[in-house]
Parts: sequence; structure tokens; C-alpha cells
Amino acid sequence: MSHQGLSQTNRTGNGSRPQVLVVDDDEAMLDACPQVLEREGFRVIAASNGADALDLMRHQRPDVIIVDLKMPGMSGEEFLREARQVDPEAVAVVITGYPSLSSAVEVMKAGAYDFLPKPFEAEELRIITKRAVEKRRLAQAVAAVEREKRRMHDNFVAMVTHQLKSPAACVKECLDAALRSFAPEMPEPCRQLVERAAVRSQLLLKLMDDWLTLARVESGAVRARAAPVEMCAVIQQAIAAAQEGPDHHQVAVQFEPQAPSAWVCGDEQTLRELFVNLIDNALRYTPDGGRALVRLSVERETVTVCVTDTGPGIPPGDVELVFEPFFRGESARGTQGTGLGLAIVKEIAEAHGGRVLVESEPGRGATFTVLLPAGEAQR
Amino acid sequence: MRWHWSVLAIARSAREQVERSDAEESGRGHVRGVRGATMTCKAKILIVDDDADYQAAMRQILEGAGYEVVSAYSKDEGLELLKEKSPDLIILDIMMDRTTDGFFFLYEMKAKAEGNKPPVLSISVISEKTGMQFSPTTDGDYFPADDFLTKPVDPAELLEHVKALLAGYRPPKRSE
Repeated sequence: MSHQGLSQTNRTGNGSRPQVLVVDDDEAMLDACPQVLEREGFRVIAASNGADALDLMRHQRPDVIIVDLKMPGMSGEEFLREARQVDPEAVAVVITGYPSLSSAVEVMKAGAYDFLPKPFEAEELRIITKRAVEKRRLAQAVAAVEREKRRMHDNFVAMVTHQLKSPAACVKECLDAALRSFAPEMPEPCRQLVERAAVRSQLLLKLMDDWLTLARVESGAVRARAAPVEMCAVIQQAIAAAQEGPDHHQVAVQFEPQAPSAWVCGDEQTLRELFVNLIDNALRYTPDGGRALVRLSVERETVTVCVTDTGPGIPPGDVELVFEPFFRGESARGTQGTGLGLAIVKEIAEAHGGRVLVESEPGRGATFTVLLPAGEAQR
Repeated sequence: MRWHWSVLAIARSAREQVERSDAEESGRGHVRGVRGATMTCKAKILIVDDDADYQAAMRQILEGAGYEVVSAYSKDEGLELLKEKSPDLIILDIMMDRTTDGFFFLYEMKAKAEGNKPPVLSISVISEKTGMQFSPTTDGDYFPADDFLTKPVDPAELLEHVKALLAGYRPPKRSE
């Protein structure tokens, strides 16, 4: 029985030589298994009972555990349950002298990857252990990719936020400061150019904000903040916010809720953003003096919100594309948007378990319908 | 970050109080001492931000409104000038050379037992978009600035907030 001492480098049983823990009260097995496995290049540690084995696991991180189902004291199954607490990712192979369908099922339920009925050949042990090690490697690789993805996402957010937004914010601030102090003294062509630059740098910042929003919602960060949200209030706030946008005050927005309140489970701020984007979209495409209509209704399981504009409508070929990031159809010419508004609407709706649909005919405006699963009211 | 309309109304009435003693456009700003006293002085604003270009823009806006501006380009310079110049207001960038510089400036300033503790208006590109919120109403506990704006700030909005803070207004912190 080789007992390896406390060693930090063993922790992930990494790369070079996989580590196998053998747990069996049978002396013969404790003798034979390590010999067979070490010849394959595995490092082997062994224990004759569950308690000792758990102790070993606390100091090392075996890639694979080979455990006998029937042991005095702590059974193989009990041991496996405990082992899962210590290392949820350990891959276990169960040795059993009583193979039957029901015991196989029990074993799988206890979290074993495979089982090996006694008596077995050395070759069978080798093969099953190799497969178990491969499974472990695969799980580790997946976990590493997930971590990297998370790191890249966090870096992306940090990068966009600070590295890109800082200089863009600085440019906007300098232009605004110059216009505020010196516009009357600037030759008119100069003032106009500075104005254009100020407007474009504002759009650049909005684009970064929209992109960040999309990234944040796609990453699932929204789900963590779910709470009961009352949608009538949220929609009213969204209408007020959308109407503050440039050139939007000439279009009226009418809100027609068919219920006094409508509850959804989700993130309030993000849901508000969904409707700010949707209503802003409606306002952008509705001519001055026109009207946008927002209707809300609640059935048992669904909250439905329809936003209708009286704009030029969407050509049939474009209808499927409007939710694509950066898609700006023919009717978008002459308006200033980032091309991400509807992509954000779709992403947020889906993050909340809902959907968004669009219906439109050229010349007859468009109606966007958001369906969200109804949630419980806040107590 | 936009203020709620009621808050802007309060800011405007604070400004009107200041205007009573002197013309606002001449930019003499805040009245020090007993209300109704005939003495007026220019308010002094310390900006702590390592971005020299951004400081130049802010300086243009604030000096244009009659304030005296002092610039610090690092946390340490900021703490020094705080002691030396006794500003009436501090405008602080959250992230400077090291991500935590803004935080540490604030903590060190609040930790000092004696001396000047002017209101702090924190300005940053960080906002809810990045998934973080640094608003006194939600995060007052661990970033105790008195007010918060997102870069870039509209010049008129910046001046509204500055006047309100100098007149003693503080945005409410969340009670829970």
C-alpha cells in the first residue's frame, strides 16, 4: 500500500501520470490492482476501507477511484456518496461480486461511471481504468474551457469599459466643453464640424453600451438577479425614458394596459432596457405627429406586450433579419441607431424565458409582440 | 445616469437660493459663511483623475461657470492637494492607475479624523451597463461617494450636480 504524503502538486492529478485510488478490503485485490495499473503508467494509492480512502482523498485528488461495492463498515456506495462531497469530479469504477441489473442501476445512481464484475482479468481492469481516465480528462478540459470563456468575457467587459470607453468619453467631453464655451465664437463651418463630431462620438459610446448590454445578457448574468417585477410600472418608466431621446418628443406614446398590474420574474433593470429599446425603435420609425401604441395583457401564464408604430413598415424579406445584430434595413436610412436595439430586445426576452415576434407590412407600420412567462406578485 | 425629475427640481431650487445672493452667470457660485452674508467667494473644486485630457475638458466647463479648479493626477497627489488647498468639492474618478485608486482615495479621505471633508462627486465610465452600479443609493456602503455621474457628462448636468452638492444637497442613500 503506497500512501503518498500531502502534496499540492497532486491536486489535479495533472497531465503526466494519472492517479488511481483503489479501495477494497480484500488483501489480494489491494496487492494485485496496483501492480497491474502501475505497469500502465498510473500512479496508485490504496486503502482497505472507506474511511481511510476518504482521508487519502482529502489530501490528494485521484483521477479515478476503483472501489469494491461490498465492504465491512462503510459500503462502497456510502463511500462514493462521501467521495462526491470531497471531489464532485472524481470518476469512479465500482467492483462488484454480485452483478445484476438492479445493483448496476444502484451503482450508477451512486455516481459511478462504470462497473467491473468480479472475477475480472487484468486486461479488463486496464481498459476500464483507461476509459475512466479519459472521461476525467475530458471533464477537466471542459471545465478549463468554461473558465477561459468566463475570463475572456470578464476581460472583454473590462476592456470595452475602460480601454475603449475612456478615450471615447474623453473625446465627447472635450467637444461638449468646446461647444459650450466657444460655439458663438466659432466660424459656422467649424461649429458644424465640431457638432457632427460630438454627435458621432455620442453614438460611438451608445454602440459600446449596447454591445456591453448584449454581452452581459448573453452571458447569463441577468438570471442571477431574478425577482418579482411589475411590468406596468416598468413600461411606463421605459416610455418616459425613450421619449427623452433626441427628436422623440414629437411622437405620442399611448399605453393601454388591460390589467392593473402584470408580474414577471426577472431583472427589473434589464426588462426596462428591453422596453426602452423597443419603444425607442418605434419612435425612431414613426414620423412626427404620429403615434406609437403599447398594449399589455395578461393571460394565466403569459404577459403579452405589443408595441405598434405607424412608420414605413418592414419589407417581407427583412422581417426575419430585424433581430440580427447590426442589421439596418432600407427604412433605417437617415436615422441614427446602433443596429443592436432589436438584438438586445430578443436576447433579454429569451433570457427571461420569453420570445419576441414581429408583424409588419410595408407602408402599414410594424407591431412587435413580447411574450414573457408570468410570475408571482411581490408580497 | 439621469436623475429623477424630483431630484432635479430640488437641485434647481438649491441653485435659486445661490442665485439670490449673486448673479449666477457671473459665476460666483457658492456663498460661504452665514446665509445672507454679503461676502461671496469662488468655490474651489479639486478634480482627481489621471486622464489629463478629460481634466482639460472638465476645467473648461467648470472655470467657464466661475469655479476655481485644482487638478490632481493621482491618488497621492489628490490627498496632498486636499490638505493643501481645502477644496469645497471633490470630483473623483473611480479607476485611475490601479483599479482601486479611486476607492482608496475616498477611504483615506474619510478616515482622516481632522480637516476638510468636502462632498465627493464620483465620475466614471463604469455604470450599470457593465453590471456594476456605483450609485450612492445602491452601493453607498462600500463606495461612500456623495453622488455619481457617468462619463461623459453633459456639461449642463455636471453643473447642476455641482451646484446642488455645494449648496448642501445629498442624494438619498438606500435605507435598507
